Amino acid sequence: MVTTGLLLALLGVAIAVIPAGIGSAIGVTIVGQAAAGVVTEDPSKFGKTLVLQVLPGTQGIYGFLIGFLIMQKLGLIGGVVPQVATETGLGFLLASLPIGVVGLFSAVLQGRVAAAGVSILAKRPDELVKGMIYAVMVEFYAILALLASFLAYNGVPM
Amino acid sequence: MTTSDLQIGQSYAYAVARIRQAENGLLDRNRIARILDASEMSEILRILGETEYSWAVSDVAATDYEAILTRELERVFRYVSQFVPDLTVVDLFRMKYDLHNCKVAFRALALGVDGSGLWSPLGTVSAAEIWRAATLEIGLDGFPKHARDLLGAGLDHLQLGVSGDTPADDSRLEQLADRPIDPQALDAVLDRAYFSSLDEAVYQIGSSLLTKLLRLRVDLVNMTAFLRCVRLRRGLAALRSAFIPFGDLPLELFEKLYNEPVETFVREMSMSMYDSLISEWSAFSKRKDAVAILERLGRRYFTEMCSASSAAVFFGPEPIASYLIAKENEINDLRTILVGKANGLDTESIRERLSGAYA
Repeated sequence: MVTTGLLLALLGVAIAVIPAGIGSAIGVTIVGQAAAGVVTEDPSKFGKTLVLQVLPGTQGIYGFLIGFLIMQKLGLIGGVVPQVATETGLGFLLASLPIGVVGLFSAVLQGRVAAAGVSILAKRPDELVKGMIYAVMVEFYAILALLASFLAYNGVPM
Repeated sequence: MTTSDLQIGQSYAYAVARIRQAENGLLDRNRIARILDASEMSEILRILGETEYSWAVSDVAATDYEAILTRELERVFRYVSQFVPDLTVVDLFRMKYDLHNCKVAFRALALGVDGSGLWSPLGTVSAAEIWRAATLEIGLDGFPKHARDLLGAGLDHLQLGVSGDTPADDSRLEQLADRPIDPQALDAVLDRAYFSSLDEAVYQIGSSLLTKLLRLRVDLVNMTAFLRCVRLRRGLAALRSAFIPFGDLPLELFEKLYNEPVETFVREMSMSMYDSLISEWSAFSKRKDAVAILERLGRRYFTEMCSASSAAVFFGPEPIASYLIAKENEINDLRTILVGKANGLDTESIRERLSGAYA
C-alpha cells in the first residue's frame, strides 16, 4: 500500500530532480545560443565554447543525484513498494529542497554568466579562463546546496 | 529575473555573441593610422582590402569611395538583419537614410531640380518609392509608419496633401513652383518627424539605455543647432523651429542663452551631464569651426558613452546598437580620410577632423 510517507518522499524526489533539471536546461540553452553565435562566425572556437556550455548543466546532475539517492534509500530501485513513515517522507522532501530551489536559480544565472563568458571568448579568446572562473563562482553555491541536501538526506532515518 | 528577461536573454544571446565576434572586424587605431599615413589612394584600398571592406573595395574605382562606404554599410545592415531578433534595432539606423531621401525628394520638388544622383540605397524604403509618394503618384498607405510620418510631414509642409492622401493631383504640384520654400524650414520639419519616429521605435524596443542614448543624441543635435543659430544670427524663431523636443535639455534653456556670450553657454552646460564634453570643447569655442568641432567631439562622446554603457550588457539590443554606431562612426572617419586625401589635405589636418573613437 502506498503511504503518505512514500508520497512525500516521492515529492521530494520530484523537487530535487525537476527544478534543477529545468534550470540546467535553460542555462545550457542560453549558453548554447551564445556559443552558436560565436561558432557561426568562427567554427574553430567550438571546443572552448563547449566547456562553458557544460557548466550550467551540473545542477541538473546534482538534483538527479539527490533524487536517485532518496529512491535508493527507499528501495524503489529494486521495484519494491516500501512502507515509509510520514516523518521520514517529510524528511526526504525537506532534504531535497536546497538542491531543487538553489539548483533552479543558480543554473539559469550561471547560464547567463557563462554566456557572458562566451562573449569574452568572442572578443578575447586568451581571456577565456576568466570567463570560466566567473561562471564557476556561481557553481559554488549549487555545490553548497548539494552538500546541504546530501547531509540532510543522510540524517533522515529509514 | 522575470520571464520576459529570460525570453530577451534567450533571443538575444545568439545575436550578441555574433556581434561580439563581429566587433573584432572593426578597424582599430593602428589600421586607421596606416590608412591615414598612406600616400596613395591605391594603398588605402589595399589596406581596406585586408579587412572586412575587401568585398566593398572589389570592382570599385579607387576614386569612388562613397560607393565603397555605402556598399560596406549595406553589407553590415544586411548581415545584422540576418540574426537580430527585432529588426527595429537595425531600422533605427536605416531611418536616417529614409530621412535623407525624403529631404532630397522634397527639396528637388520644391526647387525644381533633379535629385536622383543623391539618393541613398540604405533606407528601409526604396528612394524611388519615396519619390513617387512625394510627387503624389502613390499614397502613403503601403509605407511603414516612420516613412508615412516623414512623408506626411513633408507633404503637409509643402501643402501638397495630408498623411494617407492618395490622389495624384498635378495642379497642386504646379502651384508649388509659385510658392517660395525655405529649405531649412523643410529640413527642420522632417528632422522633427524623424526624431519623433526614432523616439517611437526606441520605445517599442523597450531599452532604457537606447532611450538615454537617443536623448543624448538629441541634446547634441540641439546644442549644435543652437550654436549655428547664434553664429549666423538667425533669431529665436529659427532656434525654436530647429529645436528637437526629445532631449533632456529644454528649449527654455537655449532661449535663455541665446543672447548670452559663449562663456555663459559653456558655464551652463558644464553644470549638465555634458560637463566633460563641453570642457574639452571650450578650448575651441572661439574658433571659426567651433560648431564642427563640437559635432566631432559630440560624435566621439556619443560613441564612447554607448560602448561603455553596453559593454556590460550581454542580453539585449544595446550591444547591437553599439556595434552599428561604432561601424557608422568608423565609416564617417574613413570618409573624412578619403575626402581629405582626395582634396590634398595633409595628414595632420585630416587627423584633427577624425572623431578618434575606435575599436
